Amino acid sequence: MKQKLKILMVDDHPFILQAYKNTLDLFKPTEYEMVYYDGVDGKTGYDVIVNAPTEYDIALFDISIPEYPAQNISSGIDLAILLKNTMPDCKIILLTMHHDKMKFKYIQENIDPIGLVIKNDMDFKEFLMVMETIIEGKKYYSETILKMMEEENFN
Amino acid sequence: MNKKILSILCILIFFSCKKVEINTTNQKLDSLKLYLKIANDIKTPLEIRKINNEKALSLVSKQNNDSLNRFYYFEIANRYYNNGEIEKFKKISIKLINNSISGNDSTHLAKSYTFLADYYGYKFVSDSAYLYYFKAGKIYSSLKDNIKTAKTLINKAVCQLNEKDYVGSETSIFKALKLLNIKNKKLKYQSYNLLGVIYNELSEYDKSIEYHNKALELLKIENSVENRRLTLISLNNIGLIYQNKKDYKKSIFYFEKALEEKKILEDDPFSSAALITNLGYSKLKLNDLKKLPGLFYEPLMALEQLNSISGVINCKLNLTEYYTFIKDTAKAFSFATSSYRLSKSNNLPKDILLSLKQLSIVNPEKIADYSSEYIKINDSLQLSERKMRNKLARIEFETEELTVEKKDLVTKQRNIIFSAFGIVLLLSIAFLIRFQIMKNRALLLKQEQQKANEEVYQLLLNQQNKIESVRQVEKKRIAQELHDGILGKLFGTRMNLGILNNEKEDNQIKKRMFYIEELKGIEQEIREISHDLSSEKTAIFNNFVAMVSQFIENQKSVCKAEIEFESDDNINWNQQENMLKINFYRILQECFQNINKHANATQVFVTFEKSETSIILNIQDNGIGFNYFKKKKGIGLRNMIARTQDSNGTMNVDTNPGKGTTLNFEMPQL
Repeated sequence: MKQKLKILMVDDHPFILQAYKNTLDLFKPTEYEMVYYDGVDGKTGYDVIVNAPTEYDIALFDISIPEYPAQNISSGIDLAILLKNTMPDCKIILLTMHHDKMKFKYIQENIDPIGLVIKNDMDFKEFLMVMETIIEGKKYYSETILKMMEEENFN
Repeated sequence: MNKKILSILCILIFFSCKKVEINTTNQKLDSLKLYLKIANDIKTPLEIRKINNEKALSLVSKQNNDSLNRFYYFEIANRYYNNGEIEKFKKISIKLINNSISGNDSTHLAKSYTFLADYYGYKFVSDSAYLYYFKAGKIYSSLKDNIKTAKTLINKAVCQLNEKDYVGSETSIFKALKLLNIKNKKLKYQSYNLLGVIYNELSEYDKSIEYHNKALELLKIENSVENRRLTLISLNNIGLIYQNKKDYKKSIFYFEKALEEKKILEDDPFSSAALITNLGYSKLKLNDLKKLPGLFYEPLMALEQLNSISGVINCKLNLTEYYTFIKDTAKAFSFATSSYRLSKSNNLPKDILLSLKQLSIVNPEKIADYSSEYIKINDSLQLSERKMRNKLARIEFETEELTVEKKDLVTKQRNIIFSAFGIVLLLSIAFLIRFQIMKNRALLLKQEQQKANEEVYQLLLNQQNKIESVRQVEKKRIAQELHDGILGKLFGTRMNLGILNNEKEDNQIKKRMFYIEELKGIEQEIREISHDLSSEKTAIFNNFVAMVSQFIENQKSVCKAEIEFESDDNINWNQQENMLKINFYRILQECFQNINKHANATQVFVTFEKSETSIILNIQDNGIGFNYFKKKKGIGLRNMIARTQDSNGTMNVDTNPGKGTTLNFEMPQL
């Protein structure tokens, strides 16, 4: 019996969502059966969290997404915080194009996500590694982020 | 006939006056005064007097030209005159005139004029004498010295009398009399005496006798030697008048009365001779021949000794008459010829005439010759007398005219100087004011321009800021676009292509095709952004054009006319100096101010064009135009000119009333 993994993904490029799905479909297909839920901006992301049809096991948030000012959602970070409050057990992965140290610090302190990935570091194989690591319950920070943190510590 | 002697007597009166005034010598006899004293001492022999006078002169000529020095010169001149050195007298008189002028001493100047006049009087050059008496009189009358003025007037009268200007002479004497009071007896006497002579000449014998009697009355007041001498002269003169009146008995009475003064006559051989000959003549006329011709021979000898040519001639003519009367033709002819020769050789025309008259009586055979010569000489004599009379009148008139002219000239000159000075002052004030105004105006203009420049700078800066902020927004937008759009898509594509590498099914080709298409899309998107960026670039850098466009847009809401604006895209505004842009912008503002205010146009075309070396701004309207040359240029136009000059450009104005205006500004570009 394959284990069902309910995955929430929010990214404003449908094209990228598709890429995620395609990749995840190839992650240990014998063990897991993926169920996808998605949003393309602040609003749809908010809706899919607040009116969640189920408990999500894993959530992937792009940080820069169109805002949803009505509910004070200005980025993927706000969605992650919201999700963390509603479903504390959900494993949250934040993906971003930015290389913003301050932002990472903020994210660590307020969300402490299990996965934090700079999109530049990622490719198909790396993505599979992220999945494997977090399902084991370990944190995955991508290479550039680790480097930045090291620099931070040494300083 | 006896006029000559009479006149000589009169003149001698005046010229001998001088001798008298000098005898006032001081106790202190320094050498100069000693010389002068000796030179004037009648008892000293003439030669020694002359030598002493020369010594005095050599001392005086070493002194400086001051008042005292001139006083001594006058003394010396007097001595020259008295000692008969008449040319030296003239020399000193002229020197005194010059010294008085340079010493600015009008009293001495007048006196020296009278000296020179005396010289000419002595020489019988009546016109010159008259001129200098006249000059002296002018000065004396301006100095209000009545006595001396009267003296010169009397002397003038003598000159006039000598030249037979009887009326003039009479006038002069009455003028003199007006100035005299009771105390000036001597001058009064002279005046009356002269009047007597004048009226005699005018054949107004009664008047003449009246004045001579008046003269005699004056002499009676004081019984001095001088007065007694003068009495003789008056008596002689009265006798002559009666002679002229053909009242010979009365004339004899006066002559004999005068001849009683033997003591005086001893010292005055000339008067004595004159009286005797006059007496003789009256007796001849009365046919009383007892004492004749002795009464003619006696004075003849005396007069010959005195070297009085006129007197001698007179006597000889009397003798001629006498011998004619007693019919001794030979002697008569001899005396007539002698007097004729004498008068001819001494050039005495009046005596020549008298001689000729006698000759024609004595020698009637040659009467034609004599009378023709008589007429000739008489005519020329009359002519010269008339000329001389006119000359005397003219001297006075011309000199007066000259002084009036001089006064006029001085006044004119002063007026000219004052007015010139005034004008210069006014002009310089006007110039100063104008200069100040211009300076102020220039300063104001400069200030205004500075302000305008600042405004334009501000505008440019605002524009720059505006553009900068737009640019920032745009940058952000592009960054976002790149980041979120392109990068996301590329990421997605990469991910998907990575998945494909893991799949081996052939049907994946289709999918790859899709991603390749996707990459094309991304390319397209990048191209678009790039294009946006480049178009943005022109917008950003062309902020001058933007500013002008903005200005034009604003004008469209203000200006009634339709405005079209074109700018050559090839103009590289960023390379141009800010001043050039500011100047263009200001000119444009001024133009639109004019158009809004005055032009009444319905269409305006504004273009910026480019030539190889310059940028040309053209502003053309179809308004009412204006006369560029007629009215004073307004501040707007002046500003435009100034701006154009500031950018080393040229400005062309093509306008005429009713024909619209085209303004063309061509500035060199970088």
